[in-house]
Amino acid sequence: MDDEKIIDLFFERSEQAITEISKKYGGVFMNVAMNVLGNRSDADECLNDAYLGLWNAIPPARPDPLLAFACRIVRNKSLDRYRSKGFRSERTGCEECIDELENYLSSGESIENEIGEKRLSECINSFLDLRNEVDRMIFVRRFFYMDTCRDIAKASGLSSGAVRTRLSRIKADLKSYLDEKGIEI
Amino acid sequence: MKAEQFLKAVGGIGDDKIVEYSSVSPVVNKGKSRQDQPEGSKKLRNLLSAAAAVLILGFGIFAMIRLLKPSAGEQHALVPATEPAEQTTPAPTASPTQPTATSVPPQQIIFDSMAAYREFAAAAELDDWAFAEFLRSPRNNYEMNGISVKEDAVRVLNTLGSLPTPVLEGFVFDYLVLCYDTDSAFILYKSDDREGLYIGIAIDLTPSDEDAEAVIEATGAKLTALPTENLPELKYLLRAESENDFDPISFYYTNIRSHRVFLRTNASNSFLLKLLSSARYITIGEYAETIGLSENVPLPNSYIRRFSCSGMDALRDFISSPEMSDDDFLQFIEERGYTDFGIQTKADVVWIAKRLDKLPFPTAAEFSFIFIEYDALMGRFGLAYNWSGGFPGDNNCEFIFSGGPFGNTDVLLEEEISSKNVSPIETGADSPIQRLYMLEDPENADLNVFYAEIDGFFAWIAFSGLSRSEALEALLSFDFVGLSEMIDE
Repeated sequence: MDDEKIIDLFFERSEQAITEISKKYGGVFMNVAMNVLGNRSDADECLNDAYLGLWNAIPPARPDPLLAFACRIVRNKSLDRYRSKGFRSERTGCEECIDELENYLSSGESIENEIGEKRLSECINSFLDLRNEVDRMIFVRRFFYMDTCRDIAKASGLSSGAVRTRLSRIKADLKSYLDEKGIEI
Repeated sequence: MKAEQFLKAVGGIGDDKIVEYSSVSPVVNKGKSRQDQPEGSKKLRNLLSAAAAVLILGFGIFAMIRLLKPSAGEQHALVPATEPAEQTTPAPTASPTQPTATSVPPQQIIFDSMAAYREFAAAAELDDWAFAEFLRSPRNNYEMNGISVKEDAVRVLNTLGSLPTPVLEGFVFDYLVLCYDTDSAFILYKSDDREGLYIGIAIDLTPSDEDAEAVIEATGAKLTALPTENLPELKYLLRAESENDFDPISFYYTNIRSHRVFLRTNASNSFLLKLLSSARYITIGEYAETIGLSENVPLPNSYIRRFSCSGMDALRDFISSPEMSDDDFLQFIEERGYTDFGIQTKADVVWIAKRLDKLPFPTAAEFSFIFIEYDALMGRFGLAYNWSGGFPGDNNCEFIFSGGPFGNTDVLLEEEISSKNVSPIETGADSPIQRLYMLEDPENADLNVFYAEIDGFFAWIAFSGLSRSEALEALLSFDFVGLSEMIDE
């Protein structure tokens, strides 16, 4: 079923909408939630929350593309749940990301306001537009979908070492790029 | 700045990028048809597997080298790091081996490990309903790739199973992609001791007996024939000349058992020749049946890491639960807490039952079953029993099975008996216990430990609350039966 039809189902308040979006994108959502939470039952609960979030958001929203909109909800719900849970039995892709970023980010001031965050997002986005396809893929898979380097390597055909090397270079370039834009991270 | 704040900011990147790269992970892509995937995903999938296979079909090798040549930092890339739009993709051609799928015609089927291939093969032997459940498992996406009925799976297995492949010493299977659209199968072997060293092999599905001259003519490329006196299985071996002497990746054409094969590696020429001369050549089917069986590879994307069940009634109920209606089944696994182990569908139960079915279940009149635990990652099964002479409910006897189809029994047994003070015990030719050793540990006289080989498995066995002679007598009184016999008793 195409996205428009799924959105129409949401507008009609048909529960079939949840079935259809889950059928179409459930694998992607589960992947995100598992990467963040590393636990199937937490991921399932998170997905249920996300579906409820979608149900409440559409209408009035008529997102295009639906996948990106829904992915953001799943990711945010997963990160919320991640923060609220103290103990995790397994190391997740999210934890790998956070460890990696701890060494990368300065311990300086945080960006406190929403405008600052939005600007940072826009700058990261425009920085990615300047990179080649492979770099963009690695960055998005690593820091949006929070895949492990190993998964990215396997999917892209690069070696894990090559993925790490590229990530390191991308991050260094991003830092310089943001410096130029007056954003210190 | 905090890491989480950075991650939050990344959440604000453009929709186009989120959609474009939503399906790169093998977790998402496994088994999906290319036409099921977004455009960007198709491009990336091409990056992954098609490049080598595509080019076998006779496209200009110079163009290919240019495409595949890595730029700095991409030395190990298997695939071109160019914009996908630049790639030359052939129009899908009808192939005599292409199956008539019952729904969506398969384009690419990916097996992330040999374990996944083996499980797919085993699933083709299941009952129809169990196979349908296998397809419905969230672990598998084969259904999305036109595998609707067992016959589809059988066709895939027939296609792959007969293709030739070398068994390369020091290299292990990494993944396999069957590309019907390019009439080829691609296998990646990686070195088990040198990180980053790999050999990718793309094999044409359609047999071809063409000779080296025909290949040179067809490709119009600059190819050098290499001596094949030490390579009797190879009809010829042609090496593509690189435009760049520093390019670490080499390309070769050959023909093995009437299948044209394209080979891509970052190993040196001399290393590859040596490797090929010492290689055995078998079919992919034979490879699956014989190679790497001892590697305890966890199933990809498997959320089931562990399973345990207390009491024979509960085990019986669990094994027969796929016969319930869907609603009853879901209620059953929820109420019994099986969902905590990641069990979601009937296929998951079948998956576990199939593994338990391989076990030699110990059974003895004086011992009643208490519980079973299965560690899927370690391929280990633990069973506990209560002795009729002990306190009710006490765990007087434990068997921990490993090895067998899930590991190397010889190695496991040797490790134990070579590092400990053990006495061998004769069990007799008719005994189900093939080898038996008793641990000599006077400091722990209340725990009698045995190491054994039982029905091909390595077994660690311990008795508590029994004397040494009672423990030995008890162990020898055990019979070992299949799962169905065990739960029927």
